[in-house]
Amino acid sequence: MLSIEDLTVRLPHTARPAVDGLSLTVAENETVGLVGESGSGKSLTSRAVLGLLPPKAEATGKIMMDGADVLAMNRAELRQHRTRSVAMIYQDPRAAISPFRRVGDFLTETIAMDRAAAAGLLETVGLRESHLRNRPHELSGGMLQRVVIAAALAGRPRLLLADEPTTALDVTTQAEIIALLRRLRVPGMLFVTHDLELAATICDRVYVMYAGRVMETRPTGELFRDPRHPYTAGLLAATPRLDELGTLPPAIPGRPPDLLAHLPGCPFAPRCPHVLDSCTAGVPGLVGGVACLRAEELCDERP
Amino acid sequence: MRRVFWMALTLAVSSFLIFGALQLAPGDPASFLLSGRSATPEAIAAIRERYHLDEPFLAQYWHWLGGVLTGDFGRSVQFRSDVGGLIASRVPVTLTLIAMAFLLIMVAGPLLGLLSAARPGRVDRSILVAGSVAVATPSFVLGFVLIAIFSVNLGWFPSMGAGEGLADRLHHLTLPAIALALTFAGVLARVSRSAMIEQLGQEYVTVARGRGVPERTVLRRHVLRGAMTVIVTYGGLLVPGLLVSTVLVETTFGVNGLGQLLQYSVTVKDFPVVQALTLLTVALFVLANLVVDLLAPLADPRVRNR
Amino acid sequence: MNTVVVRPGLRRLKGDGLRTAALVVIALLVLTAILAPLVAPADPDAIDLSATLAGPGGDHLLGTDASGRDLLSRVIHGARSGLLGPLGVVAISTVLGVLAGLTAAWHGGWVDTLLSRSMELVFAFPGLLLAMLVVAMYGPGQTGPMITLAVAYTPFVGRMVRGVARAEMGRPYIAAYRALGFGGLAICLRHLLPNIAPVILAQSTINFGYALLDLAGLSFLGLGVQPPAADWGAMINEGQTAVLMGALGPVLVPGVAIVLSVVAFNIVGESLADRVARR
Repeated sequence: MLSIEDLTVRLPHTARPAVDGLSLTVAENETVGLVGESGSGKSLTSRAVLGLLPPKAEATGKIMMDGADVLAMNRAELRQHRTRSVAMIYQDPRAAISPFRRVGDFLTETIAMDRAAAAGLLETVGLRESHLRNRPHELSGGMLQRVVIAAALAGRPRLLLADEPTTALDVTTQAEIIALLRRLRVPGMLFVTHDLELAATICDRVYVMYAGRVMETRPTGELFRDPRHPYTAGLLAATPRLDELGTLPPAIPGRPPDLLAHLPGCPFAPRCPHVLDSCTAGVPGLVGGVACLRAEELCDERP
Repeated sequence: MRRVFWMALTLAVSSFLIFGALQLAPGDPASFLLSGRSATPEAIAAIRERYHLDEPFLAQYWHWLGGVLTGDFGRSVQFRSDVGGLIASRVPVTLTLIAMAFLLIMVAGPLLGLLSAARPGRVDRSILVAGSVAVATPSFVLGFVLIAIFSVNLGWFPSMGAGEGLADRLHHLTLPAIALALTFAGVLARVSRSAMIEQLGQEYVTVARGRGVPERTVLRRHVLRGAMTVIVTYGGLLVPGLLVSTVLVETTFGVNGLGQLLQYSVTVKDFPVVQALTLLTVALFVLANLVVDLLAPLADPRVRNR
Repeated sequence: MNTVVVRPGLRRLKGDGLRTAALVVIALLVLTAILAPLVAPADPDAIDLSATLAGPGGDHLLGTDASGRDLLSRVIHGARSGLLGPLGVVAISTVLGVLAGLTAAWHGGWVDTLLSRSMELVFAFPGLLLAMLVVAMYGPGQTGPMITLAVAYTPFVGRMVRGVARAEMGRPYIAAYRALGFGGLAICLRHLLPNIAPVILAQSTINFGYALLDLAGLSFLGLGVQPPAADWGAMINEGQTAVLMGALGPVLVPGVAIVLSVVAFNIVGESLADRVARR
């Protein structure tokens, strides 16, 4: 359904692309995770799928949605694409809805629908018809996120882009929203998050992104049992576990690189515990779902 | 409440200063009020009586303030009539002029600001440059240019007077309203522009675009709507400035409103009229601030419900 | 969202050409005002009834007014009162505003409250209105309106100085000087003032343009510089009737001089303010 081929996005006044040669697919009835730290280019990727790039950003490559290239669409096609085939759920629902307008106006501003239809949408996400007349400030963050989800469903999209949809919410609400997203059964979903653990609970397959590139992509179960890329392994090790409460997990040393730094070779090399001189010589390609020169070797070392 | 108190205090102190100006004027207040004309002893006595000039200063002020509060602003020596009636007869013309200019400002300002914000680059830069020229152009210079083009050359609009009846009056006041509006529209365009650029950076604007809302609708329903609070606030605060600027515009176009009355009264030193008009302007300033403070929050539902 | 780091300084080039042009205009204006008798092609007050309302070109480069006086020479001489008036307004209001602002910021407490409230009160009197009130008392002229406008402009400077000074006083170097035993006045004048001078300069430059507009307006109303003096506002006052006779020159020539000067001062003032804001 969605197939991104070799997408590169350059932002103005930066030294390296924010998204660098990324390829990604979402098949029919598949939920795909896109995981990475902030600044890895994952949000930019999901917005690129909407054709929503910052002004003066340059994008090359292809974003094929059901056979049509998003990057080549004209205004009218893009509108059709955004209303009918792809919809997005955002990180901060309070920022996503204009505080000046009613919930009902927000739901119906893209597609003409009657009150009953709008009320029906609200019911699907567990809200009541009376909420149509509410203003955003009268609702909680969780309720607002439900409104955003309802609005996303309005055009019966084929693909749902969820960009950190639970990050701004408290834990209980997070669980409710995740449950709601699983229940919806939209034909396809791209779930963007920094939380590998969360991705595991909802995704069939996961792409791990770092500095604009895919580091590893495997089915969720495999990835968790047997992370091949040192970055994925580091991320997994850094996730707090329920059985080890009280001890802080070891974080990956160092910080993700900013966009002003040139990164020769593997972008993770400066932080990688297994780095060799050859790592910075050339960009490692994705082999067997892993972009690491030492993947095989490290895999063998492990018990 | 606190705000209302400060405003009342501002008004009280202002009225005191405006009245006190009479004492600061050179010469004896009585003969000053008679504009230095050689008046008969009877006339001077009448003035002293009317302004209680033989009583202490504070008592004089008290009498004057009492009069002002009941609509009695004293008597104009020049016009030989009550200042209150004189002003009242001029209010409709000036009010129409200000209303027309205000309408122009509130339409042109935000529109140009929106255009400027939505089209960075050449359009934005041209509007910015035009705006700086507009802000620097005196209303009377623009007024004479308008007269030269539209009255003298094309003959579309009259160059003088305020006209009789509604249609004629609007016809007469069109050029003055444009001359009056230009500078203020330039200022408001600039304010609107920055308010809308701020809106364009809001997440909900990006979200609306990402949902396929047409750009036109995004600009109108989200950007313009979001910037409205700032625009209304600023627009309201322009009104007292408009009243002051009518002095220049009405003099340019020979419109017999409050502005021309003020210019004439200052020229012939008809002090009671000057005092009354000054006080009126200050009152309008205070009122505009109060109204804006009360109304602006209504544009924002988050504040309104509190 | 990804954070995008934009290198500062790339946008700086924008508008620099405009600022240079504005500075050149101001320099030329000042030179013209100083050298007026040398630059002007003719006597600004020489009446020539055989050449009234002449168009531009020929003997008179910009034409003549209703009395046949050379408009170019008049507008050149007009630069003197045109610049001196606002200069007076800005000089006085800057001194008063800095005094009031610094005093309010340094003392705080009731002194601050009193000064701040007084400045707010003055805001209620637009400059032009206050100047007219004074003219009604003392009669028309240039000095009265100049001083009055200076008073009306003082709060603009004062409020800003107070704000900047308060922010500046929170910084460690002030406390250090205090600890060293420097007096309040010495610190204010020698250390605080130089640090906030750029902000004051920016505000005063912008005020210069507005003062020029207000003074020209007063002269146009016949309440400032009196005709037949060669003053831009007074020239427009005298030129009104010519407009109805189809000659716009006597109004347009001084009008353009006003607009050009005000635009130049505004551009320079705002670019100064921008520069301060960017620091």
